[in-house]
Order: sequence, then structure tokens, then C-alpha cells
Amino acid sequence: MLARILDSDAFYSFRTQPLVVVAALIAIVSILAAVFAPWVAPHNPFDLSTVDLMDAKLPPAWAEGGSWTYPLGTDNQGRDILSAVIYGTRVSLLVAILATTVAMVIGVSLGLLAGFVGGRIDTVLMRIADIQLSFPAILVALLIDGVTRTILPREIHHEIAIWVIIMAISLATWVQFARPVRAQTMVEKRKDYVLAARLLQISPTRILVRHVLLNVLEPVLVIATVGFGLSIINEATLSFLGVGMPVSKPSLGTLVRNGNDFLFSGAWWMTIFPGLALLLLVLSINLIGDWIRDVLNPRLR
Amino acid sequence: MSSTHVSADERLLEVDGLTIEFQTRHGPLRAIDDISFSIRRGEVLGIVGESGAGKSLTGAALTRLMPPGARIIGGSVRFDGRDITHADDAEIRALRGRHIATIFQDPLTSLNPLYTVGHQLVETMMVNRGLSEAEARKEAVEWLRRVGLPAPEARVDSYPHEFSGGMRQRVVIALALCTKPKLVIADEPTTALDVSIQAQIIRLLRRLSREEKTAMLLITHDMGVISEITDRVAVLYLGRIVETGPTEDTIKAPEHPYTRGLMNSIPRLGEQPARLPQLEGSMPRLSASPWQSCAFSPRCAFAFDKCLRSAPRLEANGRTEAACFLPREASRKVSAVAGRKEKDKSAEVPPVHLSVTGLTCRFDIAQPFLKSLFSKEPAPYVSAVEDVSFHIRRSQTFALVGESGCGKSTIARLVAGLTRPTRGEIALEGVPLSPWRRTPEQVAVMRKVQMVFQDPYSSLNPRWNVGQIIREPILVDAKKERDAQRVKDRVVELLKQVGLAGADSRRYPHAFSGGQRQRISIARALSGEPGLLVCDEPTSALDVSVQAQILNLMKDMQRQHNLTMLFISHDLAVVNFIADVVAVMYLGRLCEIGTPEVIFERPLHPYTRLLRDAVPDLDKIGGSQAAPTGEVPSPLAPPPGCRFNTRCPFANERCRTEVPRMKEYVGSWAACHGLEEGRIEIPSSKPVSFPKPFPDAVLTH
Repeated sequence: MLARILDSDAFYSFRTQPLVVVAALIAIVSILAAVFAPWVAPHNPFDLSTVDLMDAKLPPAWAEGGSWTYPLGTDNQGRDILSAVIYGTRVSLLVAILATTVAMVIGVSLGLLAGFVGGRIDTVLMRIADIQLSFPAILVALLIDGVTRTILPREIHHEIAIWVIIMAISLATWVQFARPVRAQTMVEKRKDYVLAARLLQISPTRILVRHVLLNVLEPVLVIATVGFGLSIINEATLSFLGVGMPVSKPSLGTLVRNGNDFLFSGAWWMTIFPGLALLLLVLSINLIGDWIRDVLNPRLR
Repeated sequence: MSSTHVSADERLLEVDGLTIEFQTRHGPLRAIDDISFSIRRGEVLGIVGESGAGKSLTGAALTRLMPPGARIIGGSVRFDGRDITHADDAEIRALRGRHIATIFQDPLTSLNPLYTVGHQLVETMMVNRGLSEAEARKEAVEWLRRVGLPAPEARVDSYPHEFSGGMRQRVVIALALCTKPKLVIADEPTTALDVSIQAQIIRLLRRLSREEKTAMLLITHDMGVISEITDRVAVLYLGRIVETGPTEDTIKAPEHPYTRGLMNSIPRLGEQPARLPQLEGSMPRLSASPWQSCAFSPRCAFAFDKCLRSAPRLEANGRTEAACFLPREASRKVSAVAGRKEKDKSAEVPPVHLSVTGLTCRFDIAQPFLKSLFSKEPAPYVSAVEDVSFHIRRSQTFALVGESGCGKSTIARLVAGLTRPTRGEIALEGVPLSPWRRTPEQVAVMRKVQMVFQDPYSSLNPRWNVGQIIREPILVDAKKERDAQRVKDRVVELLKQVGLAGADSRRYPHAFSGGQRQRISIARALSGEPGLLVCDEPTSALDVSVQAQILNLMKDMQRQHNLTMLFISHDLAVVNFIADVVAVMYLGRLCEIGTPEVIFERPLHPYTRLLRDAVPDLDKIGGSQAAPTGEVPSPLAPPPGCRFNTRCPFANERCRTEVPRMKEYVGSWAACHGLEEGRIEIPSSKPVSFPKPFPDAVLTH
């Protein structure tokens, strides 16, 4: 099995593109660090008993006045930036995974339905998609955020902030899945293997799930990877604008926002390091997405 | 090939030991292995072979239009006395178009859709021949006239999309020849066209190449085209030339076992064997090519130890050369298996299995919403099938033939219940089928209709393994056996019946060749235990040698499973081989129904006659019949009266106004006013009885 994978065209194209290998390494390291944050991070930035205000605004270890206790320096409350970045990556990845999954489930289902049934259902769903596309993700997020803020008390709002932002991002991105899936479904449903299934008088639902769904998943994989990167960016944007993750549970975006206030007072590390982590993470995910698209596209083989 | 009797300056193109490899990560793949041929000035050389043999690559190598990754690693190409093997890009570009022109298969993509055909011709002549714009324009009109475009003065300013496929290919030919090249490379120039259009284009190419004294390299998979147009032929197999010689000798008395097998496996109109002599297996992929031995040895019935040890070289014998170690006499023994189709002598007429009455299918053309709301005119529609009636009797093969767009595939889909008819009735085993709600009885009857499709690459779900694909029809029927072991045994049994191994059930479709996939398709259709098998062009995507295997298999399966078949094809020879009854369709209507003997040996309807004459005849080298004229009108605006009247030489006023009805003649039924009135001569023959091929109701109303 392993030998077969190592000999496959996909692995060959992986192996011969150093950029993709580096991207995969960065992504894997980020994900592992995020998953095992409590064991990997040198400090727990949310444990108030370990935070000392005296250590506030320490520069990175290699700069003058820095110490190796806080390799990337500390923020205005004395929290370790490296640890904050690791924990922040954890939050960012969690939000992006959930948002992409929700968007994928909505988008793939509606796309399959629109493409397979066609007619009026197709028209209605695609017009909804058009309307959805004309609202930027930020606007949708601000809207949901505003509504929940007025309805719910402040404490509960902080609790459910993560769900609000997941909803906002997935509502803004499901169309990215629905459109290509609809197009692919329209191609697949006319193929002879679907006709052969129809000859057996199988129910349309069964044909859709057992035959068509499997064959539209390839483009979905590509969109999901690129969409995953986009979701991280979306989440960071919303958090930066203050409608995303609260300061008590900061994501990379929140950290950048936080540090931004001190950028001009010389404490550049508070915003540069979370920003750099964000950049590397999204860049590597996009590179991997491009690679998957090339591998799956027979015309580029 | 060393044609020693030809003086050097007579040879326009000389290819010597050309070898081309593809660079892959598993190492080089040799696609063309040491081939040599030459073309004299004004000569037409045909390169024939099955898909993947390297024919197109050979043509592309001459003008350096090879796909990426291909590299010439040996041999030389001399054109017009000059070695162009290592010519730089600028030199090659100077040759292309000006001295070596190319005609590609697809007329849709060989013309630039943004410019008028006149502009494209004028530009080509101005660049390549240095004519002034006025001269070039005058000549462009002249060229369009010469390629047979009606009203060239008016059409010169039309855009490519305003022409039909056949007309577009004529423009492509004009574009290739207008620079007066010394050599034309025609890569499958007629493959995308219908039979009657193909016949016209072949004759046009032949005439123009003679008039212009242009040499031509014709690349095709079709032996019929080769026999009609070429002077000499080279047979390519897995990147090697296995046989070459004058067309007449090579086609009539092939030397190499491959050529011989290939020629024998082509169904012909004149004969009706019980089985087609078939070549076993199919051409392997390049990566599995036996380099050290004769490339054909794995499929050769006569291969002996020497064939496996070394590769044979071309050796002359008389006027032809073949690459084979076998003594000539030995390979000659493989003559066509004789034996005519055994005729069912019993006078008993089998009962009707499928009956179709007044079937009509129209497709509405989408209209702008507001227009459809306010317009008083009826919405325009495409008339795909119009008032078609026929019977298919139990255990018979009923074939529908016609050119593309005649509605034959629509009938297949209507019968299979995949498309809803506009009007008309389909009854299966006496049960009328409803296009809407289906009763359990109707569902049960519909399950007994299975299909074999044209495209072996889209007819199998790529994500399922073969076992799952064949199993599905068994599992779907609740009443049938669901015991896992029995189902498994049944799948293995079916795979063996269609000539595959039981172990293949765990492999996925991509691991199989086109012919093998078609076998899987047949196994899937059979696993539903169908009564009626609808086959929509099941062999037209396959190579000739594989086609013979599949046709034989279908015939065997029909006998074994006592199947009734509706067989759709555009290929008259295939239909002649497999059908018991043939119906000819034109623009949505039936023209003639009869036995294959009657339909193909003495056709009555003028359209059947045209189709019959358009088929390239392997026995008539150089082709002699007059080309059929005209093209099929658009089904959007079919001509009133007899739909064939625009192309029929016998049409009169009545044909242009009144739809002809089916009438019985000796041995067949035809719908033609000319025949009815005696204006068209009916060939005399001994009386043959042919049971009425459609329901009674059709004649009474």
C-alpha cells in the first residue's frame, strides 16, 4: 500500500515540487502545534497566575532586553507571544475547519439538488446564490454579530462568538461550493452510467447519492482546501475588525488587532509575529490547494 | 522502405528510420520505432492503424507539431531534397502552410471563429504567396467554388459558425490547398463526418490532389477511406510499420497476419457470415510493448519462437513489403472464415415483443420569457422523431440506421423510457408504457429493458469497481436472490460469459481498455436479465479489430439469452452483419424497413440507395460511384411533404407537399411517392415474404 502511494503520480508531482513540500511541512507543523498546544506552548497565556505585568512588552529574545523565557517577546499584559500565537492558531484553525465543513455541507447539498433536479428549483437556488454573492462576508458577519449582540447578554455573546463567526463565514462561502458542484452534477447526470442506473428504475435520491455524489467530490476537495485558507483569512479579518473572536479567546486575527495598537509605540513584535504566522499558514494551504488541483486535473497532467 | 526504382528527385518526402520517444518519469517510451517511408510528388500515401498506433504522431513529427514530451531521437526526414530533421523553428515555420499544409479531424476547431472564411483564406494567401489583397480575394472565391461551396461569392464573407460540419471541412480543405503546398497531411479528415458527407469529402480530396498534383499523407483508421483514395498504404502497429505496398495489393492480398486479421474483421455489405473472423486481444499500451520481439506476436496466432526473440524487419515480396518471419504461404492460410448466417427456415413468425405506434418526440427551443408569454406563434421546436411506428419481434435484432441527427438515438432513449414522447405509444410485451406515473407492473416490465451505450468511457461509474457495477441490477430487484455468495458467483459467471476473468471484479473501470469496458457494459446489461437490449452505437467508439470481437460477443449473448435487440448504428456494414430487420431513418421519419439482404442488396427508397452508395467499398479500389449530393436539412425546419425531397433526384410536386405512407413492396416496406407511382424503378427479384413490421393501426388511420 505504502509502496503504491510512493510510486503514484500524485506523490511524484509532490516530491518534485520543493515549494509544495515546504508548504506541506509548514501546514503540518502548524496543525500539530495547534492540536497539542497545551503541551507544546512554553506558557499558558490564559493562566492569570503565571502572567506577570512586570514582564509586559518584552521584546523578542534576540533583541536588546529580551529573554529566552519569552522567545518572541510578550504583549502589553506580559503574556508570551509565541504561546499566544500557538493558541491563536488553534482557534483560527478550529473556526476555519468548522466554517468550511458547514459551507461544504450546505453548498454541496444545494449544488447537487440544483444541478440534478434543474428547472425551477435550480433557478430559485441559483438566484439565492447570486444574492448571497453580492453581500461581502464581512457584511454578513457584522449583521449576524449585530443581531446576536442586541438579543443576547454580553457574557453569553462571548460564549457563542465562535459559533456566530462560523455561521457568518459559512453563509458567505457556501456558494463557492454550490456553483461548481451544480455544474459538475449537470455534466455527470447526462453520462451514460447515470442513464444505466435510471434504466434499473432506481429512485433519483439513490442515484444522486450513490452515483453522482461520488463523482463530484474531486472539485469539492480542491475548493475545500482553497476555501479553508479563505476561511482563515475571513476569520482573521472579522476578528481584526472586532466582530470576531473576543480578546478572552484570541485567534490570530484578534492578536494582530491587539498588537496593532502598540505598533507605533515600538512594540512591533506583538503584531508582526501573529501576522507572519497567519501569512505562512494561509500561503501554504493555498499552495497545497493549487497542487491538489493540478494533480486532479487530467488536462494538466 | 527503400523504393529503389524511384529516382531521388521524384521523392518529395523521405522518412528514414524515424524514432520518437516520450520522456516520462518511468523512463523513455518509444512511440515510433524506426519507421521509414517515402512519398513521391503527387502521390497519396495512406497511414492506417488502430488508435494508439502512432499515426497522428508520425504526421505531427513532419511539421514538428508533436505533443509536449515527444522527442525525435533518431532517423531523418528529408523534404524536397532538404534534410529537415534538425531544422530550427524558423525553417520549419517557413515550411508549414506554405509547402506542407495540414487538415485536421475536427472542422469545428480548425477555423478561427472570429474571422470570416474569406478573411482567413485571403490572409493565408497574402502571407504565404505574397498576393495582393484584391488578387487573394478573387482567388479565395475561386477556391470556395472549387471545394464545392454553393454561392461562393455570397458565402465568402460568412463566419465559420454559419456553415455545417461538412461545409466547414470543405473550407478547411480550401485553406490547406490555397497556398499550393507540395504536401498535404490529412489527419482523419472525414472521421467526424456522416457517411454521405464523408463520401463527398473523400472524392473532393481525391479530385483536388490530382488537379493540383499535390502529394498527400492521409492518416486514418478507416480501411474504406484508404481503399478509396490512396495509391500506397503503410500499416502501422504499435509504432512500427508492419506492412506497406500499393493499396490494391495490400488490401486485396495482405501479407502480414495483422493486416490480414484486420481486413477480415471488417464487416462488409456483400456478405453475411455467421461470425466475423476476429483478432484476439487489443493493441497493448506503449508501456507494455514487447520491444525485443515482433510487436504483434502476443496477438498472433502463428507466432513461433523466432517472433519472440527478435523484431522482424520489412522485407519485400512482390510489390508489397511485410515485417514478418512467417513464410508467406503459412500466413496465407488465415483466410476469412466462411459460412453464411444461418437462416431461420421456419415459417413461423415470432410474437411481437416491442410495439411502437405513431411515436413523435419534439424538443422545444427555449424562448425568452417575455416572448413566450406574449407571442401568438407556437414555440419553435426540433422535430427529432415524427410519427414512427414499428414492431420488434421476440429474439430478433432490429436495427435502426441513419445519419447523425436522424432521430435514431432519440428512439433508443424513448424505448428505454429515458425521454418522454410528445405523442405516440410504446408497448412492451403487450404492456403500454406510461411516460408519467408507472404502475408496479410497468416498472417490472421497464426493468427488462437494458442498454449498451456508445461511449465506453462514460458508461461505467469510475468510482465503482467492476463487481459493484455488475451487481447493481441484481441487488436492485427485491424479488431476486440477495445471498451474497450467489450474487458473487453470478457476477463471476457473467464476467466469464463476456470474456473477462472473475478476478477482474475487484478492479476499477480505468484499468480496462475501451473494448473491455464495452464487455463490462454488456455484462451489466445482462445481469438485469433483460428481455429487450437497446444498443446505441455500441461499437462506433472501438477499433475495427475490437469491434469484431464485440459484435461476435453480442451475437453469442443474443442467442444464449434469447434477447430481443434494438440496435442503433450509422454503420451499414455492421448492421448488415448483426440485424434480422433493418429500418432506415431520415430526419425523424422511417423511410424503409426490410431484411438486410433487401435493404443493402437492392434498396428501394432513394435515401437507402444514397446511403448504400456512400459506403466506401473495400473491393472497389479507387472508388467509382458518383458521390451523393446535398446535406441533411435542419430538423428545426424540416421540409414539408417527404422530408427527403430536397436531396431526392426523383422529387416532384407531390413529394414536396404530401407525406408518403408506408407501403409493401417485395421483401420490404417503404414510404415513397415515387415508388408508389412507379416513377422510380423497382429492381426485380424473387418474391420474398416479409411480415408486416408495424402495428395494424398504422395502416388504417
